[in-house]
Amino acid sequence: MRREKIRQESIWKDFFSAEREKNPVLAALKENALFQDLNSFELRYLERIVHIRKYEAGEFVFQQNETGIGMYIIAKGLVDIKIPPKAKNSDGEEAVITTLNRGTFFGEQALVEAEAKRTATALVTEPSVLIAFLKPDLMDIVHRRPSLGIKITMQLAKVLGKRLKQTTDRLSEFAAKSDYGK
Amino acid sequence: MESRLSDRDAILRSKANLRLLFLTATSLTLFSLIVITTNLFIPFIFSITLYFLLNPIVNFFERQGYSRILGAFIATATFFAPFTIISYSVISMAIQDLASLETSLPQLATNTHNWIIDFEARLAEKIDITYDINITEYVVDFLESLSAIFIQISPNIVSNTLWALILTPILTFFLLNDALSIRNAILNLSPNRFFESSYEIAHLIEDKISSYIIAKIIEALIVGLLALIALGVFGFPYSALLALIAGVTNIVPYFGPIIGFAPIILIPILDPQYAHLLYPAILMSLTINVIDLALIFPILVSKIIDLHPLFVLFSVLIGSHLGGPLGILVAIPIAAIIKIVLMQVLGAGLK
Repeated sequence: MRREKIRQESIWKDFFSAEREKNPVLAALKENALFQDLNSFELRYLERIVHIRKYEAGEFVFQQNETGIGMYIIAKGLVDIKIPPKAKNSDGEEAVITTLNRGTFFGEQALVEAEAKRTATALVTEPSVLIAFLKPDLMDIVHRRPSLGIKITMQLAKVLGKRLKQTTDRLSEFAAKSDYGK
Repeated sequence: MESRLSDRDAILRSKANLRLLFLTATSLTLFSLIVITTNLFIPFIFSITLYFLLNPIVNFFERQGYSRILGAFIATATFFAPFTIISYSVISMAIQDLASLETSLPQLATNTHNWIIDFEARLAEKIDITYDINITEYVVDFLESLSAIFIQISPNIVSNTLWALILTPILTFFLLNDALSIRNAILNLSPNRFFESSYEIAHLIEDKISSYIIAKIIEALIVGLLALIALGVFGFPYSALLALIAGVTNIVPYFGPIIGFAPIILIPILDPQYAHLLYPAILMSLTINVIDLALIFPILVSKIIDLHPLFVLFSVLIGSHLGGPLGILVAIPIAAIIKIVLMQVLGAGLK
């Protein structure tokens, strides 16, 4: 029974990986939390709007404090998210806060914020393919296909809400620890 | 390790610079080809204008769930069908006016001739200087050379008009359907480090040009309509043709209104039958131009282009020097584009 289940899982895994190889962009969009409510027609439409960017290892996607206008989904490769060392006079290297891989996304804050400043630096660490989805694209979708625009913005609100909750939880945890220390 | 990193950085930077150079070269080559090929430039300008006018309609169709290609087809067809009918009726009215002008043209020529002889005689009476310049001869020579130039350029005008008539609907349809893909394909040539800023600049330019074109068309319509009403009230001949000329030429900054209202003032001067309309013609031309300069242009156009009037004047002069009437027509949008690019580049530099 267990072997059968594993076999079935691997069949589906093969099925999805075949599809991923056929059209990695569409597969990455399909798997992304922002676009999970979209049907295949809407995904195809979105595929024509987004921008496929190829990066080499060592290239910056963006740097901290730059003005940003959109988010990036990793279709292939690895991206380091870095912030400068905490101490102002420190001459140490930037600290990697997380390494993102295929299917994950970053920079989504810029989709909703006006004149958004990047809060961290995104550095590509191996040859990668990123899908850029920018604020003007989202506005175009809202104008041209409002129902699709609402689906995406609702998911975006959910993602941002989730991130806010995570931050609040961490802060509460931190505050609790500080109180405990006293 | 550090030198390996700096080598990699240098390679990445040179690749990015090469890509930027390629993007700039491609854009400039395409633009120069369009500008040099007059047959393509005029339909191109018309198609871009129509793209910005019809795009909201195509977006509306898309919102209703129709495919973009169908929306683009319906918008192009519905524009060009009534446009053909309206153009046909306006042009036939204008042709009627022209035919009537043609019959009165010999009379006008005789009047002009007599007027010059009379003027010459009065001038000789008042200014007691003997001169051996024959003004009539000069004027006749000038008119002859003008008609020779007209005969020389008229085949070009006919060929350009035909090209414009054939190419404009086709280009408009493709722009309405594929503008997004074309923009994205061009932007994909940009280096990664300039991608977001290039995209933002492209978007700002698109917004600015779209608003400018719509504002200029509304301005021309208002001026044309005001001229038509005033010409009708004063009982001017060829009112449809004159209002059409005043409206259309108004699109050209600075020189347009002068060219547009010149025939309205010239007719009463040249035709004694309408001599009583000279003061109403001057008054009307001045009033409409003042309304345009003081009200319509500042409210509709100035706010959109957001350029200093002196900069606008310089850009028009440079445009006229480089590209003649077409140069004047595109000077302000190009100046607005330069401003956007400079603001973005300098802004990024300052940040």
